[in-house]
Amino acid sequence: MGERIAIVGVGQTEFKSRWMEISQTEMVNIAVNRALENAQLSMKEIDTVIMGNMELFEGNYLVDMWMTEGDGAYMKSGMKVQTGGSTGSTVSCTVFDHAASGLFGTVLGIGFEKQDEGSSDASLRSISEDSFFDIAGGARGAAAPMIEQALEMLERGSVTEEQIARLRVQEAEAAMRNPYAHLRKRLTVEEVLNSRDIIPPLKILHMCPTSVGACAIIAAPEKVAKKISPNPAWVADWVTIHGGVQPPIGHFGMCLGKGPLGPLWAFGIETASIKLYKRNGITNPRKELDVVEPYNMSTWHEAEWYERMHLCEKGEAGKLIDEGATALDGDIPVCPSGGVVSTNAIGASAMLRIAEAAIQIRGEGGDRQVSDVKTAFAVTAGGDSYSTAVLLRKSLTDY
Amino acid sequence: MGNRPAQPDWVVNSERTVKGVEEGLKVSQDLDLPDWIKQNDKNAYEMAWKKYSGESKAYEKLNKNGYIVVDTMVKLPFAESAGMHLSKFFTALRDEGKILANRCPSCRRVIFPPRVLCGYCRIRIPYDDEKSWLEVSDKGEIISYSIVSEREVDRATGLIQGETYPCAFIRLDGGDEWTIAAHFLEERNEAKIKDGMRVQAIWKPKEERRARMTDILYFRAIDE
Amino acid sequence: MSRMSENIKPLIATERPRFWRYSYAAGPVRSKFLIEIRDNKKLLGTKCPECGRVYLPARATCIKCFVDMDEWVEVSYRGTLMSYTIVYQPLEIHPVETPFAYGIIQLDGADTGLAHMLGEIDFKDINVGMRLKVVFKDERVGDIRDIKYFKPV
Repeated sequence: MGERIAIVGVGQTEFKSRWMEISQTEMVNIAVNRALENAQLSMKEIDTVIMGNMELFEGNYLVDMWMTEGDGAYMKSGMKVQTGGSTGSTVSCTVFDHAASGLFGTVLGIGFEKQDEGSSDASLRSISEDSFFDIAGGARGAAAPMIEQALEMLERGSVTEEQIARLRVQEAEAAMRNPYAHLRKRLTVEEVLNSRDIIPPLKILHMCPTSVGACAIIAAPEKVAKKISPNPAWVADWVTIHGGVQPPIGHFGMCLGKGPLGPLWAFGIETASIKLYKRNGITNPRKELDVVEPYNMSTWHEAEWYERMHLCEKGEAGKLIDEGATALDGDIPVCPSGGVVSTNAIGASAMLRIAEAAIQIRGEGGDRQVSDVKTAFAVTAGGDSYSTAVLLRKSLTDY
Repeated sequence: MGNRPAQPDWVVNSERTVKGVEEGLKVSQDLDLPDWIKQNDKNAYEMAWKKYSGESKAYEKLNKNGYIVVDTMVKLPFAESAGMHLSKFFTALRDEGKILANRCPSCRRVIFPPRVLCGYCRIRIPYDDEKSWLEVSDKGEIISYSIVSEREVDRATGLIQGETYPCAFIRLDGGDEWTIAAHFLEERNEAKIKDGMRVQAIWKPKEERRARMTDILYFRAIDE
Repeated sequence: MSRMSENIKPLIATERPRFWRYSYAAGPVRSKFLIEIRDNKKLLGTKCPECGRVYLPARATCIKCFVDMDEWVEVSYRGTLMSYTIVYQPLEIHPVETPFAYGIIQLDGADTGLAHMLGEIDFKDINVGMRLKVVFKDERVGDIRDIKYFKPV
């Protein structure tokens, strides 16, 4: 059995489109220092450093070794972890595994991305291509599965385009309350409905941005956490699902919405959520969770995740939107941070879901704080259906 | 090389990209392509020109404010091995004009393209057992297709990327529900393409085949 | 491209060359370091307020103490060769033609080594521990190659 663990510190930079005045190392250093400050720790008290990003976007192999003065990893144990879009959360789960092992006192995890330094499209296209069968010059990337998902949802009747537009406005509202978010602009339903099509029904305003920034969390096992933190966010459970199932058509199968597992990422999100609920006796997530931070890479995905996380019945995501249930003052607030659709520094995005959930538990959310948070849930998705789910509690006994 | 003063790499690389865009634009207008594709490419090149010349100016401005940008090109000459099963598949394409699939000995599903393992049963599919292999037809029906309406200009070269033919998923006859090839359609006119349409592979002449999926040029609509 | 193996039929491989362009932000500290070389032919390092270590090339944070370094110190043009190698295999990224000598030089006043080329010297005369002096290019652009090489003193 492992140790019980808690998140004792969280730090992040402001997120933006371009930040060429600062190097990757210095940017990571900002987030790390903020996390240390939040935890009231010095770097000397950190035992191990886990870090991750999607290296090809910056063209730095062994980035963890390259930036040891920025992330503080010099002469400490640790490793680099990378799983595509879910990188930040797998870094976090690796942090949790380390802390729970009882072998480490405090563990620092970092996720970052500095996409202004490369051409994300070229890198993504080349790494997500099958050398032998993707002859269409990588005409897919992440957008294709997003469109698949949206089409599937419309066909199924889960949402209407108007409901998606209203949800997008809600997400923008949330980002306005988050001083770190990238896209901070109030939107109207008309603006969303009239925005440019990427490929219908996916519109440019439905899509996440490419952001630059870093996030850091610090976790510790119970006895250390109780000693150093007056306000730990207990990590009750976490699960990772490696969804890379052999698709039927070489690499393309994952993008065929009608494949055996459904649209990309959905399978991972649902499996991870159910596994975590079962292990923790959660039978009515809408009631038993106080705030949820899923990886909403597009507005369509946020709506789909409502169903996949069993916050509502299949086909009823639109109802939740109509009820305003997932707004900050609703009964099941989703992404009060604004989510990935407002801020997407890929290596950081998945960690931000966990970090924001921890912020909610610790009551440090400022304008975006949900009232009376006892239980928070973060679920993420990334390359080829790799998903993680994390359950956080304010108290391990009272919930 | 003349009397031009030495330039930082980001000037050199930006200029190379912009030059690539300018040349690409010129060449693109002379290609034997439908007008709408040429117009789309022209738009893409013009946007790219603005973007990449603007980039150079942005870096210059940063530079004046005391921030250096270190520009670099990365060239990686990878070559990937197909492995035994796919080598048999590609050899059959090139030498015999045949499309092969294999079959899981346990669940009996058809696996296309052929693989070493059945991902569901997690068992190895024998290479030498003839019963594991089958030929599927080079005819089939369109399940889904996509017209490429906007191609992208690559930042390293300044040249436009991707194919001009519509991409399609084609279910080939003789396999099962998931025997689907990802390839191109000859027909560029969207009005003439429909899901469910029957198509036939058009092969390159034998001497032009290279043991690649592109040994098939594209799929052409047939009346059947 | 195909290859024959003993008991296996010809195997297929596909070329998959990758060609990418990256533009790294040097950040305020590294930028100042390069700009001082470009504009003033000065070698400036950053000094840690806690342990006193001087880093050249300049860094923002001390690796050992994990503190920001705001103090800049000018470092000598002269230094000692700590280690070297002769590069024979040509690569596109090389700034000069092979063979060339490449070493780690610790400049007087700095606690770290700078990796750079050696010039105006026969390979057989290179010795670890020898004294060297920096030679700058006449035209400098804000790049580590603004240093042409290090020559023997």
